[in-house]
Amino acid sequence: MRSAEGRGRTLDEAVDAALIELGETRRDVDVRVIREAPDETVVEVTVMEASPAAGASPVNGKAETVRTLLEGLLKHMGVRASVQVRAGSDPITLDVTGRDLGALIGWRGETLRALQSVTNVMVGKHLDEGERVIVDVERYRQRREHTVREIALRAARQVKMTGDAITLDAMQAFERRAIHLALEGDPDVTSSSIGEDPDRRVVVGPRKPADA
Amino acid sequence: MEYVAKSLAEKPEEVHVESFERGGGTVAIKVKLADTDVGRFIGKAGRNIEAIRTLVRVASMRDRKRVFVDLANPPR
Repeated sequence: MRSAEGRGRTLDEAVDAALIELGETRRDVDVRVIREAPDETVVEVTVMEASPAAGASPVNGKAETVRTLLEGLLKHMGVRASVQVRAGSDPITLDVTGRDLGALIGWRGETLRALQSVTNVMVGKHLDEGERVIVDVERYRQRREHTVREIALRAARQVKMTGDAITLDAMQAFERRAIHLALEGDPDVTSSSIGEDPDRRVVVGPRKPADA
Repeated sequence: MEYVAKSLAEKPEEVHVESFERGGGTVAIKVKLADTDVGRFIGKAGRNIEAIRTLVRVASMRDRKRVFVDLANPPR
């Protein structure tokens, strides 16, 4: 498997740097963030080998069923895109790639959220009770998780300076989760969620001495 | 639309989808399902039908049409 390290001011720049070195496009690579700092981000970009088994043998029949259903849905929507099952993903994650898929993501990922909901109702009968699949378009979730992590760290700095709690914008579950995880190890701040979907927000506040 | 309704339904043979041109570039789609599938189509607090409408809107943008999706099943 080929991989390269990339550095840049932002995640996008770091990924682009590595892609140029590899001579690859975004669609066939896996990105792992090695280090994130305010001034520099370092990533490792690995080219995913087209596994010879993909599509041919039903390694995971369930994932393939789900993949086919989503592919059919996109075709009926008049969207030309390809759908792949992210290797080794649990829960099953479907990557949609193609050209001009911005409309499929929508404002703050609202359309992507709808696409994931509809996919889940469609495939529900093929899954176990309570099991869900994740749909990602052009790795939007990954990029967005990175962005909200930066928002979280900025909020944490401000909370430490002022001692006042901050309520962030309304976010989707995967974004709030990224924030909680980002601040989990910080001894000085706490994060919790308030409100009801779709207006649920994260509050970042100072950790009281009593909790410490 | 029919594709979505049929794949989510437990009883796909009872799914009927009709569309009506309503002039001014608008289209109305009526979906009829088996009573046992209606709840699943609408979803908790209407979440599923809203998600379906969102996708239909995105899909219909390229044809410059406004599409309305509704249920033909009478409300209980």
